Amino acid sequence: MPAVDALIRDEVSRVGDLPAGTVSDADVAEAQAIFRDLVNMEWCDD
Amino acid sequence: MQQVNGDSIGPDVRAEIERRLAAIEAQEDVRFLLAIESGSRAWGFPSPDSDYDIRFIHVHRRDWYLSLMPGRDVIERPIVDEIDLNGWDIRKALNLLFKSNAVVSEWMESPIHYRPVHPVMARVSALADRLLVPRAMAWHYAKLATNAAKDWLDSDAPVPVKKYFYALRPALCIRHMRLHGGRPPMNLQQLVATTELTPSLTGMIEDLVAAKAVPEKRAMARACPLWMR
Repeated sequence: MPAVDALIRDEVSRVGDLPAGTVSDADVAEAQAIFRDLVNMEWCDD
Repeated sequence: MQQVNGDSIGPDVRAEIERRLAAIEAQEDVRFLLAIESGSRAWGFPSPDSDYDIRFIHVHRRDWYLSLMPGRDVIERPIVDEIDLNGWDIRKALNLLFKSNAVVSEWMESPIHYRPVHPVMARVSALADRLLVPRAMAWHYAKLATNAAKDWLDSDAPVPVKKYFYALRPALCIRHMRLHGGRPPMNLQQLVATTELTPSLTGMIEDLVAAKAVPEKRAMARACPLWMR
Protein backbone atom coordinates (compact mmCIF):
# COMPACT_ATOMS: atom_id res chain seq x y z
CA MET A 1 0.00 0.00 0.00
CA PRO A 2 2.33 2.76 -1.22
CA ALA A 3 0.19 5.63 0.09
CA VAL A 4 0.21 4.22 3.63
CA ASP A 5 3.93 3.50 3.37
CA ALA A 6 4.53 7.08 2.30
CA LEU A 7 2.51 8.35 5.26
CA ILE A 8 4.62 6.28 7.68
CA ARG A 9 7.87 7.39 6.08
CA ASP A 10 6.83 11.06 6.03
CA GLU A 11 5.68 11.24 9.64
CA VAL A 12 8.77 9.47 10.99
CA SER A 13 10.96 11.94 9.10
CA ARG A 14 9.20 14.95 10.66
CA VAL A 15 9.84 14.28 14.34
CA GLY A 16 12.34 17.12 14.42
CA ASP A 17 9.54 19.56 13.49
CA LEU A 18 7.93 19.01 16.88
CA PRO A 19 8.74 21.38 19.73
CA ALA A 20 11.10 20.54 22.56
CA GLY A 21 10.27 21.72 26.06
CA THR A 22 11.24 22.05 29.68
CA VAL A 23 9.82 20.98 33.03
CA SER A 24 8.72 23.75 35.39
CA ASP A 25 9.18 23.84 39.16
CA ALA A 26 5.38 24.01 39.48
CA ASP A 27 5.00 20.72 37.63
CA VAL A 28 7.58 19.04 39.85
CA ALA A 29 5.70 20.36 42.89
CA GLU A 30 2.40 19.02 41.56
CA ALA A 31 3.90 15.56 40.93
CA GLN A 32 5.28 15.57 44.46
CA ALA A 33 1.87 16.64 45.83
CA ILE A 34 0.09 13.84 43.97
CA PHE A 35 2.54 11.30 45.31
CA ARG A 36 2.34 12.63 48.86
CA ASP A 37 -1.48 12.62 48.82
CA LEU A 38 -1.55 9.01 47.63
CA VAL A 39 1.00 7.76 50.13
CA ASN A 40 -0.90 9.47 52.94
CA MET A 41 -4.35 8.30 51.89
CA GLU A 42 -6.41 6.15 54.21
CA TRP A 43 -6.94 2.60 53.00
CA CYS A 44 -10.51 1.40 53.35
CA ASP A 45 -9.40 -1.63 55.38
CA ASP A 46 -7.40 0.50 57.87
CA MET B 1 -14.01 5.91 10.78
CA GLN B 2 -16.21 3.37 12.52
CA GLN B 3 -15.23 1.92 15.89
CA VAL B 4 -14.66 -1.77 15.30
CA ASN B 5 -13.94 -3.07 18.74
CA GLY B 6 -15.94 -1.18 21.33
CA ASP B 7 -15.19 -3.19 24.43
CA SER B 8 -14.09 -6.44 22.84
CA ILE B 9 -13.66 -8.25 26.16
CA GLY B 10 -16.12 -11.11 26.63
CA PRO B 11 -17.80 -11.46 30.04
CA ASP B 12 -16.03 -14.71 30.97
CA VAL B 13 -12.59 -13.32 30.15
CA ARG B 14 -13.38 -10.07 31.94
CA ALA B 15 -14.42 -12.00 35.05
CA GLU B 16 -11.16 -13.97 34.97
CA ILE B 17 -9.10 -10.80 34.52
CA GLU B 18 -10.89 -9.15 37.43
CA ARG B 19 -10.27 -12.24 39.56
CA ARG B 20 -6.55 -12.10 38.79
CA LEU B 21 -6.40 -8.39 39.52
CA ALA B 22 -8.04 -8.95 42.89
CA ALA B 23 -5.47 -11.68 43.60
CA ILE B 24 -2.60 -9.29 42.79
CA GLU B 25 -4.06 -6.66 45.11
CA ALA B 26 -4.21 -9.17 47.93
CA GLN B 27 -0.81 -10.80 47.30
CA GLU B 28 1.12 -7.57 46.78
CA ASP B 29 -0.86 -5.40 49.23
CA VAL B 30 -1.44 -2.68 46.65
CA ARG B 31 -4.38 -0.65 45.36
CA PHE B 32 -4.98 -0.01 41.68
CA LEU B 33 -5.28 3.55 40.46
CA LEU B 34 -5.84 2.40 36.90
CA ALA B 35 -6.29 -1.06 35.33
CA ILE B 36 -6.77 -1.06 31.59
CA GLU B 37 -6.39 -3.01 28.38
CA SER B 38 -3.39 -2.16 26.25
CA GLY B 39 -2.38 -3.74 22.95
CA SER B 40 -4.45 -4.38 19.85
CA ARG B 41 -7.82 -4.62 21.60
CA ALA B 42 -7.43 -1.11 22.99
CA TRP B 43 -5.64 0.15 19.89
CA GLY B 44 -8.73 -0.71 17.83
CA PHE B 45 -7.43 -3.46 15.54
CA PRO B 46 -7.97 -6.72 17.42
CA SER B 47 -8.02 -10.21 16.01
CA PRO B 48 -10.30 -12.78 17.63
CA ASP B 49 -7.21 -14.57 18.97
CA SER B 50 -5.37 -11.46 20.21
CA ASP B 51 -3.84 -11.68 23.66
CA TYR B 52 -5.25 -9.73 26.57
CA ASP B 53 -2.66 -7.15 27.62
CA ILE B 54 -3.69 -5.80 31.01
CA ARG B 55 -1.66 -2.93 32.44
CA PHE B 56 -2.09 -1.12 35.73
CA ILE B 57 -0.71 1.64 37.89
CA HIS B 58 -0.72 0.81 41.59
CA VAL B 59 0.12 2.37 44.93
CA HIS B 60 1.62 0.63 47.97
CA ARG B 61 1.04 1.47 51.60
CA ARG B 62 3.17 4.26 53.07
CA ASP B 63 5.54 1.89 54.86
CA TRP B 64 6.54 0.29 51.58
CA TYR B 65 7.92 3.64 50.42
CA LEU B 66 9.73 4.15 53.72
CA SER B 67 11.55 0.83 53.62
CA LEU B 68 15.34 0.88 53.87
CA MET B 69 15.45 -1.72 51.09
CA PRO B 70 13.44 -0.34 48.14
CA GLY B 71 10.95 -2.82 46.74
CA ARG B 72 10.50 -3.62 43.07
CA ASP B 73 8.43 -0.97 41.32
CA VAL B 74 7.03 -3.39 38.74
CA ILE B 75 4.52 -6.19 39.28
CA GLU B 76 4.42 -8.92 36.65
CA ARG B 77 2.59 -12.19 36.26
CA PRO B 78 3.35 -15.00 33.80
CA ILE B 79 1.11 -15.14 30.75
CA VAL B 80 -1.54 -17.79 31.31
CA ASP B 81 -4.35 -18.47 28.82
CA GLU B 82 -3.28 -15.44 26.76
CA ILE B 83 -3.82 -13.09 29.71
CA ASP B 84 -0.77 -10.92 30.35
CA LEU B 85 -0.82 -8.72 33.47
CA ASN B 86 1.80 -6.26 34.59
CA GLY B 87 1.94 -2.82 36.08
CA TRP B 88 4.02 0.00 37.47
CA ASP B 89 4.13 1.71 40.83
CA ILE B 90 2.80 5.28 40.84
CA ARG B 91 6.22 6.71 41.75
CA LYS B 92 7.74 5.06 38.69
CA ALA B 93 4.83 6.26 36.53
CA LEU B 94 5.14 9.86 37.74
CA ASN B 95 8.88 9.91 37.16
CA LEU B 96 8.39 8.55 33.64
CA LEU B 97 5.95 11.36 32.86
CA PHE B 98 8.82 13.80 33.30
CA LYS B 99 10.34 12.11 30.26
CA SER B 100 7.07 12.36 28.27
CA ASN B 101 6.79 8.61 28.47
CA ALA B 102 4.33 7.44 25.82
CA VAL B 103 3.46 4.18 27.57
CA VAL B 104 2.06 5.82 30.71
CA SER B 105 0.33 8.40 28.54
CA GLU B 106 -1.34 5.68 26.48
CA TRP B 107 -2.49 3.73 29.53
CA MET B 108 -4.38 6.82 30.66
CA GLU B 109 -6.06 7.01 27.25
CA SER B 110 -7.19 3.38 27.01
CA PRO B 111 -10.87 2.98 26.14
CA ILE B 112 -11.08 -0.38 27.97
CA HIS B 113 -11.03 -0.36 31.78
CA TYR B 114 -11.09 -3.28 34.23
CA ARG B 115 -11.44 -1.17 37.36
CA PRO B 116 -12.90 2.26 38.08
CA VAL B 117 -10.25 4.91 37.57
CA HIS B 118 -9.07 6.44 40.86
CA PRO B 119 -9.93 10.17 41.05
CA VAL B 120 -6.25 11.05 41.42
CA MET B 121 -5.66 9.96 37.83
CA ALA B 122 -7.41 13.12 36.63
CA ARG B 123 -4.60 15.09 38.30
CA VAL B 124 -1.99 12.76 36.81
CA SER B 125 -3.51 13.17 33.36
CA ALA B 126 -3.54 16.97 33.66
CA LEU B 127 0.08 16.85 34.80
CA ALA B 128 0.97 14.63 31.82
CA ASP B 129 -0.54 17.24 29.50
CA ARG B 130 1.62 19.96 31.04
CA LEU B 131 4.78 17.83 31.06
CA LEU B 132 4.43 16.77 27.45
CA VAL B 133 7.46 17.45 25.31
CA PRO B 134 6.11 16.55 21.87
CA ARG B 135 9.51 15.91 20.33
CA ALA B 136 10.51 13.52 23.11
CA MET B 137 7.31 11.51 22.83
CA ALA B 138 7.50 11.58 19.04
CA TRP B 139 10.99 10.04 19.12
CA HIS B 140 9.49 7.08 20.97
CA TYR B 141 6.84 6.62 18.29
CA ALA B 142 9.36 7.10 15.49
CA LYS B 143 11.50 4.35 16.97
CA LEU B 144 8.50 2.04 17.23
CA ALA B 145 7.52 2.72 13.63
CA THR B 146 11.06 2.35 12.33
CA ASN B 147 11.64 -0.93 14.15
CA ALA B 148 8.31 -2.32 12.97
CA ALA B 149 8.87 -1.28 9.37
CA LYS B 150 12.59 -1.86 8.91
CA ASP B 151 12.12 -5.29 7.32
CA TRP B 152 9.55 -4.25 4.76
CA LEU B 153 9.22 -0.49 4.23
CA ASP B 154 11.97 -0.45 1.63
CA SER B 155 11.40 -3.88 0.14
CA ASP B 156 8.75 -5.72 -1.83
CA ALA B 157 8.31 -8.40 0.81
CA PRO B 158 4.78 -9.35 1.92
CA VAL B 159 3.73 -7.60 5.11
CA PRO B 160 1.69 -9.26 7.86
CA VAL B 161 -1.10 -6.84 8.59
CA LYS B 162 -0.21 -6.86 12.29
CA LYS B 163 3.24 -5.45 11.52
CA TYR B 164 1.70 -2.84 9.30
CA PHE B 165 -0.26 -1.51 12.25
CA TYR B 166 2.80 -1.51 14.48
CA ALA B 167 4.29 1.09 12.13
CA LEU B 168 1.12 2.89 11.09
CA ARG B 169 -0.27 3.67 14.53
CA PRO B 170 2.95 5.29 15.81
CA ALA B 171 3.14 7.32 12.59
CA LEU B 172 -0.38 8.59 13.22
CA CYS B 173 0.56 9.45 16.81
CA ILE B 174 3.36 11.65 15.45
CA ARG B 175 0.95 13.21 12.99
CA HIS B 176 -1.56 13.91 15.75
CA MET B 177 1.09 15.71 17.82
CA ARG B 178 2.27 17.63 14.77
CA LEU B 179 -1.25 18.82 13.97
CA HIS B 180 -2.62 19.38 17.47
CA GLY B 181 0.33 19.50 19.86
CA GLY B 182 -1.28 17.41 22.60
CA ARG B 183 -0.93 13.82 23.72
CA PRO B 184 -2.26 11.45 21.06
CA PRO B 185 -5.20 9.12 21.64
CA MET B 186 -4.40 5.43 22.00
CA ASN B 187 -7.13 4.16 19.72
CA LEU B 188 -6.56 3.93 15.97
CA GLN B 189 -10.06 5.06 15.04
CA GLN B 190 -9.67 8.20 17.16
CA LEU B 191 -6.27 8.82 15.62
CA VAL B 192 -7.69 8.53 12.11
CA ALA B 193 -10.51 10.89 13.07
CA THR B 194 -8.10 13.56 14.32
CA THR B 195 -5.29 13.42 11.78
CA GLU B 196 -6.97 14.88 8.69
CA LEU B 197 -6.25 12.00 6.35
CA THR B 198 -7.62 11.86 2.82
CA PRO B 199 -10.72 9.71 2.29
CA SER B 200 -8.57 7.39 0.22
CA LEU B 201 -6.06 6.82 3.06
CA THR B 202 -8.88 6.41 5.58
CA GLY B 203 -10.43 3.76 3.34
CA MET B 204 -7.14 1.88 3.08
CA ILE B 205 -6.78 1.87 6.86
CA GLU B 206 -10.36 0.61 7.25
CA ASP B 207 -9.48 -2.22 4.87
CA LEU B 208 -6.43 -3.07 6.98
CA VAL B 209 -8.56 -3.15 10.13
CA ALA B 210 -10.99 -5.51 8.41
CA ALA B 211 -8.09 -7.75 7.32
CA LYS B 212 -6.80 -7.89 10.88
CA ALA B 213 -10.21 -8.91 12.24
CA VAL B 214 -9.66 -12.57 11.35
CA PRO B 215 -7.70 -15.02 13.51
CA GLU B 216 -4.02 -14.12 13.24
CA LYS B 217 -2.96 -17.64 12.27
CA ARG B 218 -5.25 -17.40 9.25
CA ALA B 219 -4.14 -13.86 8.55
CA MET B 220 -0.57 -15.09 8.31
CA ALA B 221 -1.45 -17.94 5.96
CA ARG B 222 -3.87 -16.41 3.50
CA ALA B 223 -2.58 -14.62 0.45
CA CYS B 224 -4.56 -11.43 0.79
CA PRO B 225 -3.55 -8.55 -1.48
CA LEU B 226 -4.23 -6.11 1.36
CA TRP B 227 -1.21 -7.32 3.21
CA MET B 228 1.03 -6.99 0.22
CA ARG B 229 2.79 -3.88 -0.81
